[in-house]
Amino acid sequence: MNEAALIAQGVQGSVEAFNQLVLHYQQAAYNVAYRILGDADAATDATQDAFIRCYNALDQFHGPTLRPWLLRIVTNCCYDQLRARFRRPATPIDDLVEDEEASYLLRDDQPSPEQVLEQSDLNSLLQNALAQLPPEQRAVVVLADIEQMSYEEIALVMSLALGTVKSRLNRARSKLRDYMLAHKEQLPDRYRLS
Amino acid sequence: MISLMKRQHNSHQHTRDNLSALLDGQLTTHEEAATRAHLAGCAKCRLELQTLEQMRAILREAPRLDAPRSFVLDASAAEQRSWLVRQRQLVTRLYRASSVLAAAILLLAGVAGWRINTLANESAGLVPMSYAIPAEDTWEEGTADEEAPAMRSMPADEQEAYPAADLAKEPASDLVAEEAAYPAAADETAATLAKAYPSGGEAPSEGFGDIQQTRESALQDPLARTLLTAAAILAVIAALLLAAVLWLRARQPG
Repeated sequence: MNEAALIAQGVQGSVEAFNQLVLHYQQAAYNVAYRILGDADAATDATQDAFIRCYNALDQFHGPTLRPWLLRIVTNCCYDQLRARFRRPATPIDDLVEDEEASYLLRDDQPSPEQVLEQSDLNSLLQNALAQLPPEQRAVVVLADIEQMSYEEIALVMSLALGTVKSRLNRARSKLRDYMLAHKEQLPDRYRLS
Repeated sequence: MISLMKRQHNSHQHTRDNLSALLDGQLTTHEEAATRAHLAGCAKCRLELQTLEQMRAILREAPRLDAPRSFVLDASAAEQRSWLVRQRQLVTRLYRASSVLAAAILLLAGVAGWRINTLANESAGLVPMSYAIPAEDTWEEGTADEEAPAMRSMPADEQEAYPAADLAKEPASDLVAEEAAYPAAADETAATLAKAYPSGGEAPSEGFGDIQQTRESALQDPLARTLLTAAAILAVIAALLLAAVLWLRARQPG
């Protein structure tokens, strides 16, 4: 896929060219949105908003690759959702924290039933742990460890200094570790922290 | 003892702050060496590093979720985008027009102000310090009595030494004596005053009023009035353009 050519065609107004980029990035965008928001419906809305905003502002994109810029828009859409949710709390926090529906969306690589259960348990526990973090720390740890972005890319996505990325990531991992230790009986055996 | 404990605590805290960056290879050579040196002698911090590494591994093995549906855009997105792009271009053009208008307004107002100032200076004549000594500061014969009260309030022993009648007469007599001694100088002064103030023959009592009058008369100049009117019209147009820009920006989504 020639990303630069597709972006150039998208700038000219070609929806078909832009949709090629959507198909390439939509899984990463949705995963980031889901991990930050903890709710499948909210993550779907945020992802769709992000792609619309990305398309509308494509002529303002300047960079080697679309991924950091797109994930920045996704993160901002998630913050908008969180702010709206904070202003009009309609869903109890417990329902937002543990989304069992998402377990059906786990990637199907022909795992065994035990593996499916293990992944489902891990997913629920992880999502509960992420929900304990402030949104800024949550976004940094999702981008660093789930999307495996570098510190420089994270700094670009979130408009932060490298030192701030470093300190937020350290605090986020420490808090997640403490949560996992407090709920270690829920962790699958091979993930138990020593 | 307390400062040693505080230093040790700070050392632990500093090392813990660097553990994630150490795992990710984001420390400088110096920072890494210092962190590893501390870890070599601190079991607690080594355990902290180990659990952080395990936590990072769990996060990296977190299940990847499939997108619940396709997020491709439909054809209406293209129409909306072209409308948004046209609006953005219009806003940019309006901003540029406002900047040009602002520069033109400044230029017109500057030229008008320079013109008015020049005309005001020309009308005021060649007198560089065009103000006169206020009337109350001038000496006139017969007004010595008005000055005398200040002198009459002198202490009694001084009044005895300088009788009031003599004091009251003194300024006037001095003036008369001077005029008698220098009649030519007095004539010269009168001639200079007559030249400077041909119409009245008397020095104006209030010089600052004339400046105001000359500036007001300079405002009647047709060119100055045209420039100021043009600047005012352009200012109104610029204000309308800026209002349009603000309205368009408020309508834009996101």
